[in-house]
Amino acid sequence: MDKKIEDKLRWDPYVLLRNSEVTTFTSEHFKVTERKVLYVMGSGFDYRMNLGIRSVKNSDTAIDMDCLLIQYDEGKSSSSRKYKPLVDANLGDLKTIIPAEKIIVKHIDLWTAAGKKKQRVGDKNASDVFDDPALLAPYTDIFVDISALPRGIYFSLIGKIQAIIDLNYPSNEKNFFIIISENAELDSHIKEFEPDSELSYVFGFRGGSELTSDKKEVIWLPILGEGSAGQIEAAHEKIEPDEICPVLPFPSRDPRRSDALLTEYHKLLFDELNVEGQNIIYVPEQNPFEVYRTLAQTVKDYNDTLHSLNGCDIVISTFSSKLLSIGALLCAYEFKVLNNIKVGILNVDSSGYEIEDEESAQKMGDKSELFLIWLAGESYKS
Amino acid sequence: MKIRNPFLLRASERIESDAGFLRLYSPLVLDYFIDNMDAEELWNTFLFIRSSPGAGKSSLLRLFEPASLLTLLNRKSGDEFKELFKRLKKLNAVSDDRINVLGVNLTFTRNYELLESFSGLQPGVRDRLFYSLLNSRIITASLRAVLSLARLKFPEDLHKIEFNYKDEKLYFKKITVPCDGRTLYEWAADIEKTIYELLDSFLPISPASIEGHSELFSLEVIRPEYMLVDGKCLFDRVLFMLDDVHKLSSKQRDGLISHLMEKRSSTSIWLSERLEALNNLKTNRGRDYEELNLEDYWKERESKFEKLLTSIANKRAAESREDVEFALDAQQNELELADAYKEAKIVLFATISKLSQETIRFNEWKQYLEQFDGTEQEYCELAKQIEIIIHRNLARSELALEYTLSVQELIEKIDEKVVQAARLFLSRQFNLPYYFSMATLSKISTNNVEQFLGFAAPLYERMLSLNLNQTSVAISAYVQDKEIRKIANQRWKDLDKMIPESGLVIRFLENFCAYCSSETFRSTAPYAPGVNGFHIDATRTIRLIKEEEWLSNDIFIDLQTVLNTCLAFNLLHVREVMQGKKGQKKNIYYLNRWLCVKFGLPLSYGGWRTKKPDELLRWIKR
Repeated sequence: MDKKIEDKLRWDPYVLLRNSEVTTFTSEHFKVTERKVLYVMGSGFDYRMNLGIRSVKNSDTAIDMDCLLIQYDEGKSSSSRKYKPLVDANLGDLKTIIPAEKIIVKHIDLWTAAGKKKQRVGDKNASDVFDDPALLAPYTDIFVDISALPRGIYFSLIGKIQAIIDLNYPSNEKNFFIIISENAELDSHIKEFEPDSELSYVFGFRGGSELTSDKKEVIWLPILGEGSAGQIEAAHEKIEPDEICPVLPFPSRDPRRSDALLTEYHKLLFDELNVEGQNIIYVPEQNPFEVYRTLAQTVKDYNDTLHSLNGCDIVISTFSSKLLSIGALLCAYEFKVLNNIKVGILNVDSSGYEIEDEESAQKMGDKSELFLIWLAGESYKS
Repeated sequence: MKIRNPFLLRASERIESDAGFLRLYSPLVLDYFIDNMDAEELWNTFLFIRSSPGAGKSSLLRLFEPASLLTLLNRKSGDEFKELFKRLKKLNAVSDDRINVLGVNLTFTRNYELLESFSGLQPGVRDRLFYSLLNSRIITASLRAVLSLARLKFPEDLHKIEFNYKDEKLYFKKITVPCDGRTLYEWAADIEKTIYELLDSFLPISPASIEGHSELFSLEVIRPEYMLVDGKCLFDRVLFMLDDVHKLSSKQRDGLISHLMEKRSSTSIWLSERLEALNNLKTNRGRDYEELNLEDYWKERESKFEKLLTSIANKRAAESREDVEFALDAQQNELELADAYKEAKIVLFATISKLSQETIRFNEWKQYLEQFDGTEQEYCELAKQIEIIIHRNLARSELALEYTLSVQELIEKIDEKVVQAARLFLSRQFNLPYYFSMATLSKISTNNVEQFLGFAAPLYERMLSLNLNQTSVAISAYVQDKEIRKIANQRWKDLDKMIPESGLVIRFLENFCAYCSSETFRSTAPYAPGVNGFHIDATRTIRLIKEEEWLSNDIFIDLQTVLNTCLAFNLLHVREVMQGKKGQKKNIYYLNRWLCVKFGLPLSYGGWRTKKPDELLRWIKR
C-alpha cells in the first residue's frame, strides 16, 4: 500500500480469485448448507454468458440458487436480434444448468423514445430492478455476472446493489460478488459500431463536472483499449477536460500491449489532444483492485494539488476490458460514498455489435478466464 | 510550446484564451445584425441562431461574454481587434470606455433531458424541477458574469454584488431578498445540487424536499437595476444566451420556447441550436422571432470565408516548430500531367469524330478544335465542352436540318456551367486532379472551421515531409487531389463507427449519391455542373397520407431518423432558396462537400432535384 494514501481504502485488503481458485472457493463456501444464492446475469449472444453460473453450480449441485436474468433490447440494429439464435442457444444452455422455474426474467428497455429523440435509460432501468430492498433479503450470497451485460447496465446495477447492502447490511451480513469471464482475444472479435451520439454520465456516477454552480478543473482518466479512437474522441468532446491522464494496461499478458496502444493512439493523444507524456498511468491488466487503488491515489493526488483552485472533478472512461472497468467502478463508488471528491463515469456505449469470424470466436469462448471479485461480506468483517 | 503539426491540435473554444479567440474571430458575421436591424431592435428581438455543428454558434455567443468584451475593450486599438470593436460599438454592445451588455451564456446539456425520462417523477414535478434547475443555473451564471464584468473574483467577491430586487411576486421562498450576491448564489447553487443528487442517487430521495418553480422568473429578476456593485449599475441590458437548446427533450424545448415568447418583455434572449430537420416553430418569423442561419450567412460570402480559413491556416502554421508555411498549388502542373493530357487529346478527338460522323452539323466545330491554339489542357477542356454541346444537340427530338453550325453558335452555348461540367467530366474520365487549391479546400470545408482543420492537417503533414526533402513545400494539384480524396474515403470508412443508425444512413447516402452521380454524368450534363442536393416535395407524398402529416407519420420514421442524423452529424446541410411563386422559399438538402469528394461530385450549389418522401424512403429500404 502506498504510504501517500492516508485514509484507508475500503477494499484493502481485497479478495480476487481466478479460474480454479473460483471453483475451489465456491465448493468450500457452499458447504454451509443454509446459504441461498441470487445469481444476477444478462441474457445475450456472448459465448461466455453461462461460464460463471456453470462454474458456481458445478462446485456444488445442491446450491439453493435463484437466477435473475436480465433481458434487454438495444433497438433496431440490436445484436440480440441479429444473433437471436445464439441468444436462444445460451438460454437453452442456461436451463440445463438451473431449472427454468428458478429463473426470474426481468426485461429492461435500454432506450426510451421521447418524440423524435432516443435516450439511453438502461442504466437507470437496471438500477430500478432493485428498487425494493426486500428483493435481496432472502439471500445470503449475491452474484452479479457481467460477462453478458453491457457497460450501459452493469455500472449502475452493481452500484445500486452495493448501496443497498451498505445501507441495510452495514456489518457485512451479505456476500456480494462480481463474476467476469475474461477473454481479450474473444473481445477483439466482437466489434462495436454505432456509438451513441448523445453521451451522458452513468446513472449513479454522474460526478460533478456538469454542476455549473461548482465549476472545477476537470481531469479525465480514460482507460484505453484497442479500436476505440472514435469513442475516445466523442468522450473528449463531451467532457472537455482540462487535463488528460491516459490509463494503460501494464503488466499485461502481452507485455507489449501498452506500447501497441500508444502506437495506435499516438496521433490522437499527443498531436490532437496534446497529452503530456508524464501523465500516463499504468495499471495491471488483470487486477481490478489494483486499478481501483491506482485511480484512487491519482484522484486524491490531483485534488490535493489543485486544492487552492477549489479542487477538481474527475471523470473516468473505460474503453478497455470489463475487468479493468470494475476498478473504475470501485473508485467512483468509493468517492461517491465519501462525498468529498466528485468522480464521474462516462462511457461511450454502442447500439451495435458484430462478431467477426463466428466459428473461431465460439472456440475462443471456452478459453476464457474466470474472475471472482468479492466486494462485501464475510471476508470484510472486522 | 511549439508543436510539429498544429493543424492536428483540437483547441476547443473553451480552452482557447480570450485574446486568441478574438484574434481568430471573423467580425463579418456581425454584419448580419448591422445590416438587418438597428441596435435597439437587435436587443429586443427573440433570436434563434441555427447552424450545423462546428459552424460557429458557440463562438458567436462567446463573443458577447464579459471576458471576451473586456479583452476587446482593453485592446480595441490593436490592428487585429479594431474591426471587431467597431462593429460591436455599432451594435451598442460596447462603448469606448465601458461594456453595455451583460452576456449571460448558459449551455444546455443532456441532464435537463434526464429529468424528462427519470422514472418515479410525476409530470407536474418534472416541470417544476425543470424550471427551478433553469432558474438556478441562469442566476448563478448571471452572478458569475457580473463578477467578471466588474473584474472581481469568483467566489470571494460575491458579497460585493447587491441584489436589489423587491420580491413582490414572492418568487423567493427560502431567502429574503433584497440580499447580497453570495446569499443569492448559495441559494441557487443549492437548488442545482439537490436536483443533481436526486438524479444521481441510488437510494430514494423525495422530490418534495426540493424547491420547485412554476415559471422562469430568473429572466425577470436579473435586470441591470437589480444587480449593483458598489451601489452602481454596471451595464445597460442583459443578454441571455441559451446555447444547445436542441439538447432539451422536445417537450422541454417546445415548453421553454412558448414560455419565453409569452413571458419576455424587454429581455434580450438568443437561443442557439443545431439545425434539425422537420422542427418548425408554430409561430411567425419576423413577428415573433428572428433567425440567423450561419450556413446561409456564409453562403453569400464564400470568398470571405476562404480569407478566414487562409488566416487560420497561416496562424496555425506559424505555431509549428518546423517553420513551414501552409501552401497549396492553385494550378495544375502541366509537365506532371503531360502524358495524361496527351492521351486525353487523342481520345476526345476520336469521340467527337465518332459522334459527328453521320452529320455535317458539327464540321466547323471540329475544325475549330483542330486549329485551336492553346495548351493541351486548354485543348482537352474545349474538346470536352464541345462533346457535351454535341450530345445536347443530338439529344433533341426534333429532326434537325442538315447545315453546319457556326463557331459563334458554339461559343454562345458554352456557358460557365458547361465549362465546370467539362472539367469534372475530364477529371473523371482521365484521372486528372479536380479537388485542389485553397478555394476548393474552402468549399470542401462547408462553412465549418473544424472540417477545414480535418482536411488541412494531413495536407500539412505532407508539407512537413516535403520540407524534410528540402524541396518546395507547396503540394501539387495532383497530390492535393489524391490526398483530399483519401481523407474523404477514410471519413466514409469511419462513418459506421461514428454515427447512430449508421446502416440506414449509409444506405441512404449511397443511394442518393449514386443517383446524383447518374444525373451528373449524363452525357448531356443536363444539370451542369452536377447534382448534389434534393428538395422534399411534401405536396407529392403518397395518396393515403395528408401532405403536412408525413413528417409525423410512422411510415416515415426511418426517413425522419436518417434526415435528423444526417443534419446532426453534418452529412447534409440545408439551404433556403427562393423559387416558384413570389417569395416562396424551399429548403434544399445538400450533401456536405466532403461527401461530394467521396463520390466524385461537383462542389457547386444549385444542382438539386425534387424528390417525394416515399422516393427518399426507398433509398433507405433498398
